[in-house]
Amino acid sequence: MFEKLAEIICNYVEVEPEDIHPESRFIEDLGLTSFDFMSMLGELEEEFDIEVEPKKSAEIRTVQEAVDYLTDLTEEEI
Amino acid sequence: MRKRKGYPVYPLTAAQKFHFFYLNFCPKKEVLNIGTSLTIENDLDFAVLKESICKAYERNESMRIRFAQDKEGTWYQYVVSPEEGRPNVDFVDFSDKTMEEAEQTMTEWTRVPFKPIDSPMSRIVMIRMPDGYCGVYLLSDHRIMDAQSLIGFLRDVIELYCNTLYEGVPYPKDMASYIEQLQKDLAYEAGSKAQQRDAAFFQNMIDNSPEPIYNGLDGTRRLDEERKRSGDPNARAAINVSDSVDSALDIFHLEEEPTKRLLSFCENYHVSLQCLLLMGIRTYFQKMNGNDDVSVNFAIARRATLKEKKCGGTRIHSFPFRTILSEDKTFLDGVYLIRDQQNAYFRHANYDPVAYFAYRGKKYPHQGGQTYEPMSLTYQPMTMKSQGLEKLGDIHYKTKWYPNGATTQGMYLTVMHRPEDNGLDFCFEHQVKAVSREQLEYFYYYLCKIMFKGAENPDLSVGDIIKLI
Repeated sequence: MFEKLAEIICNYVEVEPEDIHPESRFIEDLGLTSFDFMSMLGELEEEFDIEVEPKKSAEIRTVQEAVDYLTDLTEEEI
Repeated sequence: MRKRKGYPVYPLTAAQKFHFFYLNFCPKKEVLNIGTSLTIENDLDFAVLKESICKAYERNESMRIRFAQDKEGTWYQYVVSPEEGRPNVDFVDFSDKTMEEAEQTMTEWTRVPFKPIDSPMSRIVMIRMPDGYCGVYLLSDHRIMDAQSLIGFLRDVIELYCNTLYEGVPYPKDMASYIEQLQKDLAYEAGSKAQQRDAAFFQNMIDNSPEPIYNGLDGTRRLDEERKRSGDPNARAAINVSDSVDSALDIFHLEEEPTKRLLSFCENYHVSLQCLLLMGIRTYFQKMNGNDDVSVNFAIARRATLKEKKCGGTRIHSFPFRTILSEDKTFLDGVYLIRDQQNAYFRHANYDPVAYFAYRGKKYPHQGGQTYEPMSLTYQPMTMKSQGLEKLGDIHYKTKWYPNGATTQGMYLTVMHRPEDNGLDFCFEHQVKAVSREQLEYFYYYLCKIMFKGAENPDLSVGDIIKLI
């Protein structure tokens, strides 16, 4: 999940995959804008066939938090 | 496939149609002109700069867009080859002029509309300024360029220039294809599932809310006038523009230290500066009009992926942003409400704004010129990693925007970060007859007071903030 997410992040900001860490914050460290972030969530929804709760989208700050949330969601879906 | 001069033609995107739409109503066709200059304090090798500019046009399909109309009067676009799209790059030396004279000349350039059919939609001039700074003046038409693509283009010129002259400076990565993104946008607009989902989002929002209400910059005067004129005491829309599109640009500067305080609030509460700005603006209108219900237009740049960021063109969509917030709610409640609502808008921002207004207009028909939104807001975000011109390192540089002298809106506020000192510029483009400089000073003063009071006391209620400022 982490590798897949890192790959998707690289479509949004000029960052190398090796510079993306679990503790990296989307806005402050990776340089995404809130629009980038919401668009990326849209891509993740399509990629994993999930639906991200609107409230949750405001709570996710780090890559690890996103990985945990996506893992939970995809497991629930199965 | 239909062709023009041997090139494939494409329909306009929703973002472009929006510009064509209001151009129809504007007597001054220069209303879509964007004039800017970027100069640095060093002398430049103008031969290399000229080649870098030409190379940047070659690499950037959107800089080679042309427009044409078919026999039915429908506008379309095509992209000419790099050879045909090679620009004429002039050089103007302002050394023997004053700064005012140089800027006046560039302002005049900014007020010359482009020929609409089969013509270049941009013009670039290499300049030497009276203060010794050298660089470029760029004029482009909003139908092919927006602020982000403008910055991207200038960044490419700089990187190409530095790569030619300085060892160790890498050749810039390729631009993304404008045509590829255009085709993606057109596929979306051709009845895709995503478009249907986005249409449902906005239509539900309009259907499930009561009619919005107009809030005036100086209170209820315009709405009162409209109610009197129409004989309808319950009228909720008002005319916000004047009979003249003549405009002025007034810029207010917020210094580095207060800007830092606003940004700290945003960082602490994990919200964008745009949320704080919207909260400040809507609270101002709430204070002046006594309504909990406030709508303003806000612009979304729609550039998330690197391909979208690097494809050039114009992508901005602008929608009314409505908040209903009672005075007993806290400032922070309001900021979070705006954040959540804004995030929802971001998910559906590809929807055609003209379709939005048409749908709303059917539900609440009113005469041309009447609106619920007294102003528009654009925020040019600065990400934590700056978006491009940092490559200039320690070299001092200046950017300047030149007003085109016309606007179809009563008031348009663009807030942008000022690279020289990390402050903020509040740039008000306004119809001279609709909004005065004094009104803007008043608005800016209270907007700042609201934002600082709220940022320092986020748990204060909106009502208390309105009373305290």
